[in-house]
Parts: sequence; C-alpha cells; structure tokens
Amino acid sequence: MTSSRAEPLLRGDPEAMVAAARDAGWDEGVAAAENSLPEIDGPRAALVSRDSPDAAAGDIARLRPDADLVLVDASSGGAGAYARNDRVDGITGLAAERFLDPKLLRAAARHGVALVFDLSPVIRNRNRFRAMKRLVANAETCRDTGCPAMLTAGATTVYGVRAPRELAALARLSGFTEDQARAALELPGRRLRHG
Amino acid sequence: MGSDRYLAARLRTDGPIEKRSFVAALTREARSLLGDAGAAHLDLWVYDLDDESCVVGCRNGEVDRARAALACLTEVDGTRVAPAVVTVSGTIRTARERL
Repeated sequence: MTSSRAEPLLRGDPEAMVAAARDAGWDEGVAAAENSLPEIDGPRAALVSRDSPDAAAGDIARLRPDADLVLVDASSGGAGAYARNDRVDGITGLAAERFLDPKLLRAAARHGVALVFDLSPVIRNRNRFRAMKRLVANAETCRDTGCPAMLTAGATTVYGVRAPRELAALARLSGFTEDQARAALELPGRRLRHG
Repeated sequence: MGSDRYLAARLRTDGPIEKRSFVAALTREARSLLGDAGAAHLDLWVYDLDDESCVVGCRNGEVDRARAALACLTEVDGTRVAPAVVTVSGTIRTARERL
C-alpha cells in the first residue's frame, strides 16, 4: 500500500500553490499562512512565527482547532519549548541553520513534534554548502533520536514548488536514508488524516 | 559512451528559455551541488527543450543525482523555471512519448 505524500508548507497564493503542488505530483498540498490560516477549502497549515514561545502560545492555541498542521518557526529561539508542545506538528527554521542538540530532538520525538527540513537553501543555493552540512548532521541526529522529519521545498511562489521525488533526491544528498526520506514525505499526509 | 537514462520533465517558466542558457544553468547547478567530479560523472545532456518541457539524459545509475540537479534549477538568464520530472526511461523515444 502506498501512503499519500503531502507538501506541508505552501506559502503564497493558496489556490495557485496547491494547484502547482498537484501538478508536480503531490497527492496533497497544504496551504500555509503566517500567524493565521489561509482562505482555502482544503488542508491548511498555520505557520506561527513569533519572537518567543510566550508570544507564540496565543497563536498556537487560537489556530490549532482549525489548522490541519501547526508549524512553528523557531529561528528566533524557543525551540526547546516548541519541541515539548503537543499541539505543534513541526518546527521550521532550524534544520538548515543549526547543528541541533540530540536532547532537543529526543524531546520532540517524545511529543510527536517533527523537525521540518526546508530544502529551499539547497534548491536556491543560498549558502548551500553551509546548509547541507547542517542538514546532513541533523538528519543523522533525527535517526539517532527517533525524531520524525518532514520535507518541504519552502516555496513561496509556484516556481519554488518541487516534486516529491525531486525533494527525496535532494534529501538523500542531504543525509537522509531512502526510508527516512520516504517517511518524511508521508508524515504530513498521515497527520492530515489522523489530526 | 553516452547517456543511457532519459528524464522527461515539464517546465513551469515565466518566459522563453534558450537551450544554450539552459544547459549552462543546469551544468552550473550540477557542479555546485555535486562538485566537478560528481557532475562530470552524471554525464548530463540536454536533448530537447521548449518552453514547457525538456528531455535530459544522464548516465545509468545517476538518475537520483540528475533529479537533484534539475530540482536546483530555479532561473535561466533571469527567467524563473521549475522543472518536474514526469518520467524516466531507457530510451529517448519513450521519454518524449510520455511527456
């Protein structure tokens, strides 16, 4: 049996982005909006982006009931709190930016919080070498700690959308095993179905 | 020697693309992503290109890396581009047919 693959983080025009994701071969595309929910009839993600966990807590509580996925940008800090928040589906803004502590990813694994691997720095060659060094290390730490992973192209326009197989190929170059890449492509779809 | 796997990809672009520029951009991304040795080993070759699709050949066993290189193609001479591989085939004829 094959599981459905969902691109979990499509910012920009929701209808156009979801259509582009389907054209690229995704079973589903999850439209996302920052600190709100996009206006679309279909899977929706809230991307909570605040300066601190205290500031984010209100958004997470407000958006969780109607969001299919709640993703939190931890690039400004607070990763430890987000990793222990059962209402968070995934943490963005870290995988290509920092070498992550196994303790953090173990906590995330215990709370079912995924590390979101945004491959846009690799795709768009924004400091690609630096990003890939961190992605390789963090993919290994995810395996060692049992932390779930999600994969996204981090698209903000239709030209940024990439097909699932292309993302899997980039993920394998970035330290993922074949099984890990497959699981990372399927995890968002499983969350959508099971809530 | 020559290419023996063929990737047929649909292209989303916001303007026309010249084959020469496409080849240069794809080669540049492959070298940046895989290094000179890795990119050389791919033996990438662009057979067909129009504003909506392309057929790219690579060495057998290198399809995954060729996909990755194509995924990193974001712009050709200022024209935005998003490739999505539709099929991989052992013959160029089948790749063209499946586009």
